[in-house]
Amino acid sequence: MQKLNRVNCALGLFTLTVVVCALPAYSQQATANPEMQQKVAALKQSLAENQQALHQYTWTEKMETIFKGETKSTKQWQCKYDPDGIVQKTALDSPQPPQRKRGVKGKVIEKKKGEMKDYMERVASLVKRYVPPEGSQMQASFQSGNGAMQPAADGVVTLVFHDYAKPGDTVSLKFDTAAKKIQGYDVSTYLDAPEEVVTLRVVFENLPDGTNYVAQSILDATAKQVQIRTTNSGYTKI
Amino acid sequence: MKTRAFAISLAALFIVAGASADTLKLRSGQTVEGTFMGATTSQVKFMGPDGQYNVYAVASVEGIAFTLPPPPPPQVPKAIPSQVNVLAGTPIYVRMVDSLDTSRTHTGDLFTATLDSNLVANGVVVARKGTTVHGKVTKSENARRLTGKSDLQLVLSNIVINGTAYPISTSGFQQKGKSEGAQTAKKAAGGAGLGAAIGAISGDAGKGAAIGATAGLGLAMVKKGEPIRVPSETLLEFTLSVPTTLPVAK
Repeated sequence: MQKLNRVNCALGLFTLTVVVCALPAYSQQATANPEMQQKVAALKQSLAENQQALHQYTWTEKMETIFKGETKSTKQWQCKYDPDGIVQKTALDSPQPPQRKRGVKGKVIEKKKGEMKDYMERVASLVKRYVPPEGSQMQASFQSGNGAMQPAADGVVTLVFHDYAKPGDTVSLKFDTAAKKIQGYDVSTYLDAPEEVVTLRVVFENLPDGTNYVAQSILDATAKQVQIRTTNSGYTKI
Repeated sequence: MKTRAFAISLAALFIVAGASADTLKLRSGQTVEGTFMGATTSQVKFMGPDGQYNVYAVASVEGIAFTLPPPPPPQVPKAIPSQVNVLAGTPIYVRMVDSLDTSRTHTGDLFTATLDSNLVANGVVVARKGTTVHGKVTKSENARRLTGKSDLQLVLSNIVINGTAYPISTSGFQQKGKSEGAQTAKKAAGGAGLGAAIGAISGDAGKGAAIGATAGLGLAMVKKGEPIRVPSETLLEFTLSVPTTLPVAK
């Protein structure tokens, strides 16, 4: 789960990186349009400011591991950015000693746990291909005709990329160009075969002062019926 | 006296002259152009424009004005070469995108992976983590009932830099079934022999962590008669077998 934790750290930096990385693809369309170029520049500026604003906060991160619909573990951390811009986490729960069953049953459980750990570490490795998004990959997807920009009337632009990291995967990024806020980031991919679907849904929300943050991320490994749900809340200024 | 010398030194530090040499100002009103050579608590050593050393009593010195040293030549940014020769023996760590299985994979099949760490040569990052590499299955044999051994051999065939695939030649990754499996895994863990099998796991996959994680995970646990599987996201190590000139990633 440490690796998943690292993914969540990456999600912490998401607000800025996601769109700055995605912007090359967006700005590719903007190059011919100076007005759009200005918008892109303003957006970058706004996101940088947003990231800076997030550094003034401390918050609680809760990570739930759900297996076959049942919550197996819940962990909480108090988080804040350090001067280097890295999220520092302090565990809020006291570590519980592992409960081990003896005998054959115990061995079977340990083996299953090991297999699951192995699987989820591969899932985490897979997710790291998407978080944070790579501008170059988005551009490549765009150039090969696998990217599309879907502007909506309310100023919300959705960038959709297919075959981003693997054939058949889909990445979509939604942001509000008027409010200059990210609204969501979704990934649909797979591990070994297309049936082994892995999805990631990242939901953004705004704090009262307008700062945009990752409110929730849901990582779903459907083949193993495992879901990792991470929720950030309790934002208070330091 | 010491205080006085210190005062002179301090004064000297703060006087900045626009002249081309250091200037020694004496209490008598006389000034001497030259080069300040040093001072003790009682004397100031000064080299005149004629190259002669003169010694002045500290008590007679009003101050010294130093010429600012000429600015250092502007630092020319270290030119990043457009191409770098990557030496044979350079390890290449890749993370599998595709999954391979000797029950389905055939000799000659191609696979895709990405660099798991930057490929560095001569201190230059030739290709960054995440760069696409392609490989080839050079042998895929599924266990039969009698022989009971599966065999999977892989090499990397090219690396995609700046949108172009450049051929590379690597030593092969090899994994055999049960009868030789344990030994293969042990060799791999020590980095011996051909490309070492590195287990699927963990961390930001630095070399040490990767090797530490090696055997015993996934790849090494091949039972007799079972196919060999290299699942997606498995970390493998290959070694460049032929020195190769590659362009530097932009």
